[in-house]
Amino acid sequence: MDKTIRILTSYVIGLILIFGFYVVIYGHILPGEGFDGGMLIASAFILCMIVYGRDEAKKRVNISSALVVSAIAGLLLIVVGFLGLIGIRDGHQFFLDNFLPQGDPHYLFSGGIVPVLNVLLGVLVGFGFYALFGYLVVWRGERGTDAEP
Amino acid sequence: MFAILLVSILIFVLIMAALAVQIRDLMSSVMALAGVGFGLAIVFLFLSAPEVMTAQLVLEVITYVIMISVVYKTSKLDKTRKYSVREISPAAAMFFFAVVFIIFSIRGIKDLPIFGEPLMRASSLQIAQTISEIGATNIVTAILLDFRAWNTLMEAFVIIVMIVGVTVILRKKGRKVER
Amino acid sequence: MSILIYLFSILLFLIGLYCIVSKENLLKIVIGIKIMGYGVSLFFILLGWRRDSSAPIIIKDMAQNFVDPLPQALIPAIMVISLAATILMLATCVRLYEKYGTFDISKIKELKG
Repeated sequence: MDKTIRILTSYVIGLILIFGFYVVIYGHILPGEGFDGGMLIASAFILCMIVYGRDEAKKRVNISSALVVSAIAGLLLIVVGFLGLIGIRDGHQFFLDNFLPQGDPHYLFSGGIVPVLNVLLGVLVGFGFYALFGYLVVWRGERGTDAEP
Repeated sequence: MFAILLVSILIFVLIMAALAVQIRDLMSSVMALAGVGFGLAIVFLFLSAPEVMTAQLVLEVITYVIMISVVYKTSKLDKTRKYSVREISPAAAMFFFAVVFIIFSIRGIKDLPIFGEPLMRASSLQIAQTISEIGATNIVTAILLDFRAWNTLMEAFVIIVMIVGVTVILRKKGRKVER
Repeated sequence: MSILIYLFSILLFLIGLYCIVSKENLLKIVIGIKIMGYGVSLFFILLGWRRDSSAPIIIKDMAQNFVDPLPQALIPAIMVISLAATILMLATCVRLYEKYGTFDISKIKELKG
């Protein structure tokens, strides 16, 4: 791509990634959620792939390992759900129970299990959509319709 | 003032949707679809729904980027034939269905509560219990991740199934050609 | 008189349905399905608005009058599922274009692969 666009993108990508993590972590206090923050993280990676080409983006985050990370986050969701079934909280024994202590509202460490689920959702959505984009768009067909737009 | 602004943006959304259906150049049609999405995000902002607005914006941008890439790599024009005056059967059937649908839906909408005063039977209980039982202050996140956590779990599964599906469809090696 | 605002979402749904029924290009059909999804989301959010109320976030020492949060919790789920369906359809369209060379559905019925 153009040299102007490459220089401008190199300044902006880090800010987008940090903002995505901020929206995911503070999801239970400010508007925004696991899905929105995860999509922002995916947008940072997709921007790197569009501007610099597929090989540069593969050097930073490999597409196969992004898929594996996303699947592990999905498995961890089920594991956290089953932890509630064991009965850490007395009297409430059901799937996806809220067993962490609820701190004071309006602070970061509050809300029980909600921030943990937010982070897991953000990782799943973000890395998953980056891998999806890597497969769908930069695909070499049989007739020779080639590479990136 | 609020009603005038809301109705004008809704009319803008309808005009962009009609343009997206009729234009024959595929790139412009996809751009009109993005216009529908962004206009809808402004409507959500007017109706006091910040989470829905951020979700709509981000999903709209990702859809737009993927559709533009697909259109750019394949054909860019809509080369199907135009309908002459004799062959009007899809449009006539659609018109008849639209009239019947609108008549019956107006009879059904009359039983809904007035625009501006919803019933809120289950929601008032959940709003009252958010601080005491969960401790989070964002009510929509608390509902989605504690009262309705099953839906979120199934949605994560849908995302994984979609990724598996796309990987399988776009494999490089197909079946072997019969000799 | 105020129930007429729901007609906008019904009209959006009908525009999407017209596009699916009467267009012969595969990408136009995908656009029609997307517009139908937008119409349904708009209808849900219009149901849950309350007059003189604020967004559903609890801030210290402010009034406790909120809009209905339950539709606002269900709609992002519907949007993500609609996005998943659209991406699967686009993958199928790319594959069909590679095999037949055209997006026209009347020609895809005639040629044998």
